[in-house]
Amino acid sequence: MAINYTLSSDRELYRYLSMPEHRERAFEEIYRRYGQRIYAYCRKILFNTQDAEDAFQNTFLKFLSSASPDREMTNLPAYLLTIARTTCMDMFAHRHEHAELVEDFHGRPDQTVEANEINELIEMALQLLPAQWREAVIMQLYANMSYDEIASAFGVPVTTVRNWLCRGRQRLREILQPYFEERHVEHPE
Amino acid sequence: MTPMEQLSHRDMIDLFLDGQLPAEMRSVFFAALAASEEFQADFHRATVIHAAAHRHAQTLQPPPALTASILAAATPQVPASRTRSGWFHTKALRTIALTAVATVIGFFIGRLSGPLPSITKLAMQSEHAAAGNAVAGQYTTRQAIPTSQNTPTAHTTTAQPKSTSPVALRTPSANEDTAPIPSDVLTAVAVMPLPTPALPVDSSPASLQPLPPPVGHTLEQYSAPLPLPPAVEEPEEEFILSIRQTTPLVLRQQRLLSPLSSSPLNNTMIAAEYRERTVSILAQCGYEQFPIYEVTAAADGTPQYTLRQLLWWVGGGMRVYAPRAEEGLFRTLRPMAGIVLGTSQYGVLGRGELGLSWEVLPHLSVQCLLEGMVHSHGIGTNWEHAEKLSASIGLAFRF
Repeated sequence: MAINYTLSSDRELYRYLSMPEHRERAFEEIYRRYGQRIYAYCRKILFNTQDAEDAFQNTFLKFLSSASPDREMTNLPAYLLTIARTTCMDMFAHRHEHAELVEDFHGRPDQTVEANEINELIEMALQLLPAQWREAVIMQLYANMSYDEIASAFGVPVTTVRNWLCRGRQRLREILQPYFEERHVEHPE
Repeated sequence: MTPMEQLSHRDMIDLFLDGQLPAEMRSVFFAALAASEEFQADFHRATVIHAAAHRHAQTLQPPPALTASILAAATPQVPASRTRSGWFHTKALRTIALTAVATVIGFFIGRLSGPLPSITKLAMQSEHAAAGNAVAGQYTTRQAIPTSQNTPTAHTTTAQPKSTSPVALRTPSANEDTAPIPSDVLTAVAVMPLPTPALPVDSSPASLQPLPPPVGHTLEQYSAPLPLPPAVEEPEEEFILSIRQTTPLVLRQQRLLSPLSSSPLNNTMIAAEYRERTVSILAQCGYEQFPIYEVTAAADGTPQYTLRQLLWWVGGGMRVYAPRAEEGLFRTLRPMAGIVLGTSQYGVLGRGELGLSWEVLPHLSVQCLLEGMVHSHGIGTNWEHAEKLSASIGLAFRF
């Protein structure tokens, strides 16, 4: 019987990973669903493209090797995010002291100069946030994770995540306020 | 009052943009937005940041070569053997066995580090002091005593307690110096070792010549017991309250996240300990960052896995300390080893500890430990294990 992997639930796809005949296609579908979000998270957390690509690859390899038929997967994106988070922590721990932590926003053909500028400022402002707020904001803004998924990845209640996100984004706005005032974009018409 | 009712207007902005603002709060939000220019400006900044971040996230795509490399890893493979390994290779048992071996090694290293148990030394000192303060006449030497007249003679000197000794103050009379001492006097007095530098002794009359007085020496030095170093008292029993902060070095989660390592997250542990000499019993509790999957049974009996990252645990166990050394490096550094068995809200656990207690002050120690922990959790036969090796440092207050 042919299986439509696109219509399969996360739980079914995870179960297919343990079946040799379905493994490749199921993994492809999981990658298609969550690859970009996990990649964006790694990029924003590690702030270095090469490290982010390594962490991203390791995340999916660990995920694949940990697949087990005995396990019922209830929250696949949170599970992937947990692995990615741990992998990124490893990267931080082993990162070279003088590693170049520069994300190149300039020269992106697909974005305007103004968009590049504000992205760069947001990036810099994120670095000024407390670690947990920053991580939660990155998961939400860039990896498009829900409150539940972030809470599951951190192992904290959803209300705590909501609090971190509100505080973090308010601080982000406070840090960027001079930019908005200088650019006179305070009151859009 | 519900948590939602405590929201500030600024909180509402973020919840609104996330689609999390409850319907009943929206009218409040829009009213506030219409009433305040400052609020509008804040809302505008939020929307600009939100939109910019989302647009930028869409541009972050994994490179095609990386995607191809990752997808290639999912090629069909032969299923792993379901044969279980031998009992010793089961991770939990192996960890416990290694912990026990480390405990025994730590205990013996600790014993070797101290030359003598303190209790024995104290006993020796007491005996020595008693001898030195005994009745005058018990300290006897046959050595020649230097005199001012250089008369050949033999002397028996009697020691007194240092504070009352007349020997050092008294100048011997001429008769005493020249009168021969009967040989039975020499043998009648009990001869006991005197804690003075060894000098040549010859009892033949010809050799009993006075020796030249050694420079800087007085008679008192030959007669009084040598001062002993103050005894370091080992308390018979102590109550120890300690708090430690740990950081995991290696973390492994069998079957789920293996290997999962080097999380920089910190954990806290508190221990209450009762020590008698070198052995103690303790109660310990901890708050751990320990990503495990809780296994519960669904309604149809199938196991459900839920990620739990934080766990509280309590346990009890024992520790052994190396005996306190009297001098040298190990006078304040005491090797210690311990084992703790306990339970968390999800399963049982075992811990092994190996480290040093640095007794910096009479009632304060710094503890540095290397700790191994194995945690088993699950239901029925579907148990899983997570293991962690961590380093900890903390303070211990001794009463």
